[in-house]
Amino acid sequence: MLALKGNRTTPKALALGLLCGIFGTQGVLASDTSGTMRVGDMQFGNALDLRGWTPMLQPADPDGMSYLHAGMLRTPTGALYPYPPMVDPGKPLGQGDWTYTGMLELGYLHVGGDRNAEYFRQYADWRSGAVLGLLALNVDNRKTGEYVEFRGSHLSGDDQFYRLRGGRYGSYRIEAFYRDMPHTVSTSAYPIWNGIGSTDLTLPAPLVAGASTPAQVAAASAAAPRRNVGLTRTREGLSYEGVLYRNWIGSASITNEKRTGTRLWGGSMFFNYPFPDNGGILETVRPIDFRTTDINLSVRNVGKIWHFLATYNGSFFRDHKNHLNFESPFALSNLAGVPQVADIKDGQFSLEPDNDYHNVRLDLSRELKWNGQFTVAGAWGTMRQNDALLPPTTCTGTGGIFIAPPADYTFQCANWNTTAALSQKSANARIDTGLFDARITFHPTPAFGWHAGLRWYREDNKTRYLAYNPLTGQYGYISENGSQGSVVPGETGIFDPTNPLYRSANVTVRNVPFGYTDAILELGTDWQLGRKTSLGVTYTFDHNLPKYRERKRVDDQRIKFDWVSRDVIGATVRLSWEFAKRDGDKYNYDPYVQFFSESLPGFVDPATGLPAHTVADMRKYDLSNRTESKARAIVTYPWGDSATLSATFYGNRDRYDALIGRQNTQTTGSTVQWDWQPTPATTMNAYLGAESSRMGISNVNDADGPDNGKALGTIGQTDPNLGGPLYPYANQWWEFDRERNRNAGLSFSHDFGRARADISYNYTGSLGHVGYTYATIGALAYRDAAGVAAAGAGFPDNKYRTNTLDLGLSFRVNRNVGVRLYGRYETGAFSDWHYAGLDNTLSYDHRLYTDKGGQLHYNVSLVGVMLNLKL
Amino acid sequence: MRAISLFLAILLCMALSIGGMLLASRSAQAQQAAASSASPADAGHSPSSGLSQSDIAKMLPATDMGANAARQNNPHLPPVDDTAATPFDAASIPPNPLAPNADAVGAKTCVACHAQENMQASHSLHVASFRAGAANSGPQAACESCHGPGSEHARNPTAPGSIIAFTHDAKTPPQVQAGVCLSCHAGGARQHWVGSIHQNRGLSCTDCHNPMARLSPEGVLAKSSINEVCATCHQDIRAKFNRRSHMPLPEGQMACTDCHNPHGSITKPLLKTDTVNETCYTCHAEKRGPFLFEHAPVRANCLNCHDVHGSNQQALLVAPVPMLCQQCHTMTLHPNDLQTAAGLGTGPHPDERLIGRGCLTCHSNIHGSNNPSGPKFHK
Amino acid sequence: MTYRTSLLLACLLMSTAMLDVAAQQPATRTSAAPASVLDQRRMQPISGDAQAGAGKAAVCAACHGAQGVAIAPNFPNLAGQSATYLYAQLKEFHDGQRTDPVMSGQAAALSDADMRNLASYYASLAPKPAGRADGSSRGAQLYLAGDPAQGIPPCQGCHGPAGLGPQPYPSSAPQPPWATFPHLRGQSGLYLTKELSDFKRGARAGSSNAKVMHGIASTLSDDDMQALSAYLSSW
Repeated sequence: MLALKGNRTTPKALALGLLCGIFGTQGVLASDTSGTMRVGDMQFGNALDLRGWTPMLQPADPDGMSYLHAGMLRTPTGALYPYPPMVDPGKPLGQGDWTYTGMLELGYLHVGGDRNAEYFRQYADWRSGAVLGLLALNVDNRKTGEYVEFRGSHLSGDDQFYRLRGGRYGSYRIEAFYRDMPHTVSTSAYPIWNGIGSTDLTLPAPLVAGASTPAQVAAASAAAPRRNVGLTRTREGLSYEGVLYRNWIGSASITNEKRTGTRLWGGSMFFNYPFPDNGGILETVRPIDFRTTDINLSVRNVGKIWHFLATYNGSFFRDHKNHLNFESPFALSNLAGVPQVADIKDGQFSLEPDNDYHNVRLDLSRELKWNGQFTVAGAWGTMRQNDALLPPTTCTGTGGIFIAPPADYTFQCANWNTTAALSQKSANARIDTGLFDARITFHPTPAFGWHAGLRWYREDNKTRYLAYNPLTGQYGYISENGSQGSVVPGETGIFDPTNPLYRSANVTVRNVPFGYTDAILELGTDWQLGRKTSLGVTYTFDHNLPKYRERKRVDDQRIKFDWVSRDVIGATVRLSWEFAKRDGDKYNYDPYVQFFSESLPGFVDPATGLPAHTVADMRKYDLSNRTESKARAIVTYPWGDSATLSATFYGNRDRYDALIGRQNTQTTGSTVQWDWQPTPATTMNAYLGAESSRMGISNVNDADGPDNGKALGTIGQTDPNLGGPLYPYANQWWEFDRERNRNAGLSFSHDFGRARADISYNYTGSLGHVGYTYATIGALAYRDAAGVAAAGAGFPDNKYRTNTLDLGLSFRVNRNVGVRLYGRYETGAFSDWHYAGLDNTLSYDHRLYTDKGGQLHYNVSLVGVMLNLKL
Repeated sequence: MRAISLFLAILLCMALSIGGMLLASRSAQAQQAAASSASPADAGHSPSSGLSQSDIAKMLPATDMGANAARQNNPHLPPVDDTAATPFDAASIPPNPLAPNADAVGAKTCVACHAQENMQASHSLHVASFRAGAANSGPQAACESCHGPGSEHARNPTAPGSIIAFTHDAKTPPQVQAGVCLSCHAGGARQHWVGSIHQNRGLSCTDCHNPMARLSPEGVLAKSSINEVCATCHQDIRAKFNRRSHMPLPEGQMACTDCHNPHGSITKPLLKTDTVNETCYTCHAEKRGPFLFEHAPVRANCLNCHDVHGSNQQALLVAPVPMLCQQCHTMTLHPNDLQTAAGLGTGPHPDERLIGRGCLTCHSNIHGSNNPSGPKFHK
Repeated sequence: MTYRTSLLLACLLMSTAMLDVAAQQPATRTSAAPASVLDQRRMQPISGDAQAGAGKAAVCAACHGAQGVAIAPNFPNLAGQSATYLYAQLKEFHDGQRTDPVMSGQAAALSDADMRNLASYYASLAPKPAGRADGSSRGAQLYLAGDPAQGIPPCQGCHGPAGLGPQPYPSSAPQPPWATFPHLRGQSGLYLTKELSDFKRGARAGSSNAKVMHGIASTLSDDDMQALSAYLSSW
């Protein structure tokens, strides 16, 4: 308990320390040039203004960038730099050297049509009402280089950002920000429970937990009001970076994120599919109530010869709702035995535990002769949590099934519904990580260079948990809160060496502390072939030693060629091709014996033998032998003096050496883009993109019924081999997912002087098809005539398509005032077979769904009028 | 635990306070120095000779924080004394290998012809910061600190390589270009530039940055936003964000550089943290755990199941459920049945293993469960 | 929420009310817009019919001389000058971006073809014979090397090492309109001094090239202008 409390105070204490530290110095605020070192908050914008400063870009300076030549110069690769905006010299502020510039965009936005379409508002909280498009203020002192800048935007209380920066060029920066980011998960959710967003989902009258009929549930579901499921991320941060002393530069930042809302979740009270009018399958809604505090500190010393960098990253996650209890309306019944003794009607989830994370890293580089550099990096990290564990079940009374003595499969909930039933009261979970990375590079001549790198990384999971109940002396757990064992005799989840009913139950009794050690060696050379062409070859050997996995060693060897030329008929072309081959030691299809009760003393094999853990010919795709080839070409062609044509062609082919498991993946795609900026007043852009991908897998249905082999529980079920009695060839099946994506867009903008028009149209469309073949109908889940007839060769196609037209018209009333009219029309179409039929009913026997999925069609329009004021 | 965190907090507080005090004293010194040197410099537009070494040091603030101090204190650089000097003696005017005999001519000479460039550049953060630092002594150093000595260019502007250039037809090799920028911007976020994929593929700093105009609100980018810069080459990745499930990048809430450090890193593909998962945990901290019961592919690599740039499935999954799960799960009974259209909500046998969230309806805690009854992730 | 919305609306209303006030100030500022500027940055070398131009040149000869060498030092020599430069100047006089009591009137009557032809004609004439310039003079130094201490760039970068126009290397990068840059060798010193001072004062500012020259002339003192003009006229 003390540990838990300490755990909770950690971020507060650290935050306090950081704040004391910062304000104890000068009481100043800012940001840093180490931004690309730290994850997150590099971008402040929203769906109305993706860049977060677009109004300040207009108009472009009609004089362009130079009086000496027309047009704009290009990047070394060949893309045009855009025309720069008209320089705002700013207005003097007071008597000194301070000047300021500012911009305010304020207006009204109206949303029409299907404003609740899920994919329209996935990450944008569009609402009819007043919006603050942008408030930007810059104050700077040209003489001292001191500056303060502010940017803010407000679409709604859940979609806004404000950021203040200040500092002095080359000396220090301080930044403070606040932002809200919305994420809509579903806009067509119809949960029946009371208490959505809390930790307790209770059934509304007239539904009774554990005693409602499917018809009653269906009626309640049909009457449930629609609601949105989603969350808001609220982040605030404070950071400082500056010169500490001489050439020591330090940075410190603290960010705090609150995530609040809901997400769709599950809820299992055992299967319904094999047992009509039994079990319980629920799609619930879970609460999101997280707080994460991140602290990042760094100090560096950059010299001409040595570069030193030390960083500390700490992250402290707190979950204010660490469990979800839900009431299930459905009645469970024993498959065998009367009378019914159990009354299991509630379910429970543990939600994510609080956790603490620390990572300390040191990077050191030294310049060497021959244009060389030597770099070493070492890091140590740890992630820990020690949350109090919940009891194995929340049930009360008696669970399980009573058939007839001695077949008494009941258990007393009182023995399992307290934490006294646990071998340890808290998780005491911990993973430590270590990293060492060294690399050396030399370019003795401009024409030739080589490099070598070695990386070593280890993840050591120190969590150890034994599922042992000191109250009963039994091992294992209570599956699905007691529901499984109350439907199927003996499937409680318990192993008991002293009880003949449970001494052959093979259940999980230990956690698996997965981890790995990975060593990567890289050797590469590059040659400069003439002034404009270079060729590079890199060989990589990745030696991975996973723990408690099917393989103890996985080696991935990779060779990559890349060729860059800056002048292929005027274009810059970057080609790369890589080939990789992965193999490893012997594949053990069942490395998990030690984590199951079969490893415990007193375990007795069932009369028909212990069923095979899985088919021996399965190869999990992260461990299987694989060959991979990838190719990519990026072409940038300067077209005349005001246009650029660029294209990408790419593809990959992966073949997995597996009879069962992932077979192959492949992707082929290309994009073409044309950018044109004939004058500072006009820009135009068009793009096309197409990609096709395919993934194939194979699997085999076990002989799970008399109609597709020998029924389970008969002799032969110990044979793990494909083609054996448990996994007959006749039950093998193959499935593929084929996806196609198309993108197109066109945008045009022109400045007529007093008015400016922006038009853009974007199309995105994807088509997904999942198809399958099978050796015989023995592979199928449903082998009756109706099931076979409905199986066909695949699922209906999945579709996602949007067409978006944006129109903008800006009028400059005078130098300081402008009006912008903005309109967007968006249509979308969506279908996904996971949701097929759910628009009709969310209730199927003992199954109850909450989310109807995205809207099949939607049309939505946005109209806005914005006033732009130069401050 | 508590003891450690409190200790850490105190340590942090002390370290920052000391740092702050040092900072305060340093800026006070700088102010004094500035005040003492202000009068001669204000005297008028005198020739740039007659400047002392300390004037020069002040007028060339390193664009990256503290790099100037590094230069001054670096024993490997030629020693500087306090004799009269032109403004360029202290600045590391980069040598131009293609014009070894060129001499510096001073920014005033440059902007005599490049007036409009000067106007734009003066309002970009990069040059503005040079100017600010040079307020006392004239903005003499700005141009040639990056472009190298300009005398040959001034005499014969189109002679190949006569100036260090950073644009398309530049004769200056990319390594020299990057070397110019790194002479101030080395270290920190750019510690691993050398050997990075972008360096190996011949990119120059100016492929992504344009310090000559304010084209972006910050970061002196070559386009108006980070995402537009990255999409110049990575068009296919940008297109993936148009898919049904994606991170909020097309909505302007996120940038490529939130996860990637384009300046190089020790984690492929240019990730900011030690591993893929640590990058993901930065925002999805709840997935960090560790959990009592872990799911092997989850802990090993988030990319085993998620295509982070965009996917046609829900929640960025690489394949539709249950196919995704059935790649590995062939255990007896319910996981290995071939699910077909018969099991859909519209089929003759609606099946919970297929409808809606499919497998995840029961195995909801698929990222790991902290429940003693959670080894199958349904608690 | 409603409170916040109404607050925003109130701000919106207030700002529109202030719109009028704000609108008046800049309106006065923008009213004195200068005449349009000839953007020479995309100007291509011109071609014209020199013979036809010769037919139109009679009136020009009155000042610029029968062979394009001016009759008095206050008029520029035109012989051998860049045709594109000459055309651009005529066009500027014609369109009002460059003004001169005499030339503005003269050019007003010319058609575009006339201007091309005249320009081609004078370009085809033999330039004034070379003189004997003092290579060690201040003027020579400024022309060839500039004066970094004063921020003066060398003139030869654009006007050519021999004063006969630039000699650019080929490049795919955007190029200055080289053909619009005049030859300076042997030009009248008096004329050059006047033009440099016009550039410096902003009296000749009607083209993109003039904007470049404004920056450069601003670095020159009166003595420097005299020295340069003296050197060039004697070259």
